[in-house]
Amino acid sequence: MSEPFLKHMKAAVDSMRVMRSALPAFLALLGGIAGTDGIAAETGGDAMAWLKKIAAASRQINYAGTFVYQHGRQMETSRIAHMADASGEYEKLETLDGPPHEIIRNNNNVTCYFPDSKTVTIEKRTLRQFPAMLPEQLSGITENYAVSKGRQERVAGYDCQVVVLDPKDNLRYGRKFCAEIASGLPLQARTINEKGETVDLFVFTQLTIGRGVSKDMLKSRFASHSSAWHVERAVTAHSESGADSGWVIKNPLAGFKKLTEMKRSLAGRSIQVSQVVYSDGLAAFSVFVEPLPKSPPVAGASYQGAVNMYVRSVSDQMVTVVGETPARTVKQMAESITLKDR
Amino acid sequence: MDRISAFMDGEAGRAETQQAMLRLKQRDECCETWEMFHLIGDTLRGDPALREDFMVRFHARIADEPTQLAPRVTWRKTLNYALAAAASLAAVGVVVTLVLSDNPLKPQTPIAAVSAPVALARANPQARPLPAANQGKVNEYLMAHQEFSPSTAFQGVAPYVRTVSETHEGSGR
Repeated sequence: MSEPFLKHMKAAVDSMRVMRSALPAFLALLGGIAGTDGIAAETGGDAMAWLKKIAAASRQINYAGTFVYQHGRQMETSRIAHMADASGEYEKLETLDGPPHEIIRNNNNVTCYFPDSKTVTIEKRTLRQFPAMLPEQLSGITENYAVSKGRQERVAGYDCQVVVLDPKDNLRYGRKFCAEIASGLPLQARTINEKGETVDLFVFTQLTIGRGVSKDMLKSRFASHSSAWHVERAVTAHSESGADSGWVIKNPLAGFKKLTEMKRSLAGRSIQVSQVVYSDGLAAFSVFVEPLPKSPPVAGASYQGAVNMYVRSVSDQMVTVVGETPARTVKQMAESITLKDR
Repeated sequence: MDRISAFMDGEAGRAETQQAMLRLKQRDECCETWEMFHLIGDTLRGDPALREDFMVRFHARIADEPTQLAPRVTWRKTLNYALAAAASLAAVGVVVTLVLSDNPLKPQTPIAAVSAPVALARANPQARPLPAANQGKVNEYLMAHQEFSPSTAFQGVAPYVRTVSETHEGSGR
């Protein structure tokens, strides 16, 4: 590499060190969405209490708002509404950019509407509740992450508390939440790689908490005229004790424990696949094993925001590992799978 | 404005891209818009902003450099060098943005086509964005995984947007 080029890079860095003047103006412009990084002031118990508060708020609080999801250089805006009452939890997510999509969650059923392809996918869950914060999850988190409380920031007009989860190794991403002070609702959630760069980001730009959220906000726009649409169902024949998937993992990754194992169908497909989910309490990845399709997929790695995927074939089976974990984690996992003798 | 935004996001067609480039060349107002969009993006992502006169000083320094005759290097190669250098200086985000926004007219490759992978390729040079051809199938796995992911315990249904976002890209291009 040429010396002058390096000189430019150094100049760029020098300039960064002295810059600051333009930043406050743009923070004001953006309604203070991107605050300065929180400095870990407190650690341990208090931070864990905040984490529990975040998890509880996501289930119990009624809220409706607009958030931006940013990954790579792409930004997408969506609207979300959540309501909980004696009959359960109801949630609606709709995209505001590009083709309209809707995801409606009704307790354990998740229905997705794709009007551009006139398709509805329905995921029905039988045994297990939607993931909640379980005690074993908390212990998994403290084993694998340093949890600390940062400073207070302001997001979407609300004061919020920064909670940082710093991974103890490079098998998982770091997370940074900013939780609304009163309710604990996460107003911002950032996934951070080992270099400290943001991998993806959820941030509310407008939000109503508590009163002002009505059942109307949770209704699908498409439910009434989707009766003629193509319906795809996914069914989980699910067993907590574990169905024998016919394969083993040689070197389970440190800190990841098996959450569940099942045989299931995927939306729009008739064949059964095995799915085993591993989690460290915060992040998770799924391992799917199925017969190699007629047109084999391109083997290798791919990503979508914080979600990484790795596909490979093992004899006549196709192994797909998907998770909100770094690429090396899903790859290592995919490569440590061995099929049992059948 | 819309055209520049589409161009920046890599959503503009060939003709639109050429038009946007011409506009950027001809009108100061467009350049300001271009820089503003990048600045908004940087701020949202939490990348540090640059000093106001940074571009002026950067151009001045470039002008001061002696011209070097060397074999032609492709834009992507340059970018890789830039990334390597930047990583060693721990200033990746800013420098990449800088290199891209400083040369809006130079590369023949649509910028977003390069820049979209770049932002994440830093973390994982071997990986590629999920291929459009596999998108339908990819979604099935993402959906099936998402329902068991603890991320929903912290953020409710919001992480499903990763799934929808995937479809969005696939059908949009």
